[in-house]
Amino acid sequence: MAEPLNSTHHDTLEFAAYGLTAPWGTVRRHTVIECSPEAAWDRIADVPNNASWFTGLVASWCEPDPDTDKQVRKVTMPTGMVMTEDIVVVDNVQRRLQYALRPVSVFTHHLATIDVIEIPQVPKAPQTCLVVYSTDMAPRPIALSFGGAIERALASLKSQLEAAAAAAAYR
Amino acid sequence: MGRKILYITSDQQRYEAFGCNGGSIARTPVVDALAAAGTTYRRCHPQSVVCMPSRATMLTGQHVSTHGVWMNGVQLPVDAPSVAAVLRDAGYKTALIGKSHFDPFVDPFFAFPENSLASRGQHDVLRGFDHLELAAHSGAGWLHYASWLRDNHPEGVGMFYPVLDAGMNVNGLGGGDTGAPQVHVNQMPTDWYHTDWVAQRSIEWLRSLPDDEDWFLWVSFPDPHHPWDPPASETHRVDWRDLDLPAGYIEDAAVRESVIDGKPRHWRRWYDGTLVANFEAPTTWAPASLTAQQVREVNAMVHIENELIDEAIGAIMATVIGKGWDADTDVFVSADHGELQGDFGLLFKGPYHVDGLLRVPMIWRPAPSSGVQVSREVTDPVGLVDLAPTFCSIAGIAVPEWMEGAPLPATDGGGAHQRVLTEWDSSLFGVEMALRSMYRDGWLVTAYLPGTVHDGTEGELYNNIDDPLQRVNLFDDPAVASVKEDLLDDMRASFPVMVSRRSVQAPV
Repeated sequence: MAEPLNSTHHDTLEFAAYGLTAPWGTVRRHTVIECSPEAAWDRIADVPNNASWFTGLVASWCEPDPDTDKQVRKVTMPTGMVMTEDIVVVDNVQRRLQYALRPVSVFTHHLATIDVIEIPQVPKAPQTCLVVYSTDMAPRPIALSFGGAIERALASLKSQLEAAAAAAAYR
Repeated sequence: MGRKILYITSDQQRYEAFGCNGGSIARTPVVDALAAAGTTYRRCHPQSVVCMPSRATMLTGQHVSTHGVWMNGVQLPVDAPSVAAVLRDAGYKTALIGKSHFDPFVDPFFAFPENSLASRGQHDVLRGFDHLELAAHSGAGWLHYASWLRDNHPEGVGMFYPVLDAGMNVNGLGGGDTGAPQVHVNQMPTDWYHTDWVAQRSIEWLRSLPDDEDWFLWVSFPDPHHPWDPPASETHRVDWRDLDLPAGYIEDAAVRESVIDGKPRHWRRWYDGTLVANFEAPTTWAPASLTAQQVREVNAMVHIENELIDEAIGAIMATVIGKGWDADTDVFVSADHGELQGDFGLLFKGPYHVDGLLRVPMIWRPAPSSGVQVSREVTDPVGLVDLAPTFCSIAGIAVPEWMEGAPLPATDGGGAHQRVLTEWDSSLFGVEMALRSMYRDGWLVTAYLPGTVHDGTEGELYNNIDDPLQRVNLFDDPAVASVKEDLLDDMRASFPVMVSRRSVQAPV
């Protein structure tokens, strides 16, 4: 038989007293990448070029928003739908990026957070970092689909960064 | 020429859907005749009671823990083992027409190949099938049926019941005469409906083959899975007002709730609407509100859809006969899992391992020319996991080691089919649940693993001989403690170990 899913039993209804009224679904994915946190952060903070590592996006770019005159990110989905994202946090110290998709079609709420976390280097081992990508999204079920997309994106980011790190080490 | 294989499945269909299995409402002469010429398995269980894991078992011949599609929304990798690929390599032409659901449906990034086939105008080789024409339960989405409907009858797209609500949850909206959830009067002509489309596309594919071709055709009807919205022109077939309540429905609410309270806690929580552990049921509807009239109407709709399926199978069989293939064709009729359909006052499906969901039709009409002699019925327990090895056996191919089932027995008592296993795992926004079940010697046992609802001590045990409706949970009955321990030991020894859990990529 398979191992238990969750070794610490918490009855789901124990938490119902808190209300748990969030109309969005919340998901989190992560990956450990054999590269420096600076290298990972450089790619993530390269806001316009999101599509270079976020598998599934056809294109991404930044342009001024006519209403606010601030830069917003545009991403083109495989269906051809162009979505607008407000970049709400770019924190170079914490290495945290947050962006929010503007409501469009069925997507009514969205906030995504990407954190790059340094992992203390072990002597003679490659430098590594942890990238944690979470998203809150309404409708709730669609958060699972974006969770899947995030997982594929992180796999792409890991592959690209580790290839670059390996190439740099070889040189 | 070898034996051809016609594999017909429906979606979310109960054992007694057909007359040969005791059904007395839907008229199903075609399937009944196939059963009369072959055998019907009295105890066939899926290895999961939801679509994607169960269908992955059908294709791979593996248990869920092995193929890794542990809940809906987890993709079966495109390079996963496939009986279709085995048959194709042996020279068979292979096709799947209808509902596949090896890839998630909710796919805004077009990440999964099944969802982009139609828009690319392709019927690619995928998972061992030379030809795929895919359908789901409605005219929405990107599959071939939806594309065909949009192109040819765009007004039909909106005639279906909206499976998902504005929040993209399974819709709880009521309809029909009684306000039953997912019941809807569909004004669509029958020949636009997906049952008819699947049959017609299957017939076209068969007609395209040379007479001397060996072929494997999986005809996969989306019905009678909810929504229950057969064409309005067909609703005269069964008037819900004339129906008796199904045996599994307990009309007295106090008795019903007492029976539910004898089962692990999530049963009552789902019944009361305080816990929806899985995506496959509406979040806005509580089963406690289900009325007897609604149960009748849901059942009437299902019977109508089952009659349409039987007629569609008749049309396909007529083509097989017309091509001169009948004597050389093995025919299978089964379903991916059952439907609660009013049992215990519940609808839909979820982590409830009882006959409504576990017991599915399994009919095998061996190719008459094969000389295979089968009993009129087989009572040894079998599973959908046994289908892929059976197909290999029919094709004269050694059963690959990666298949975990065994060829279906022609008669009882062969020894290879003593138990059948079913597993459930789910993780949905902080609610995790895991069940392991086994049927053996007339007993059905379920163990609950620790999760966020159960602590790992709960279970269910039913004596199906004395209690065929599974109303009395004997799991904590000291009188059968030794039976329970023996069954649990056997089950622990029989289940494969789950190698890894791939990530959920969509709600369904």
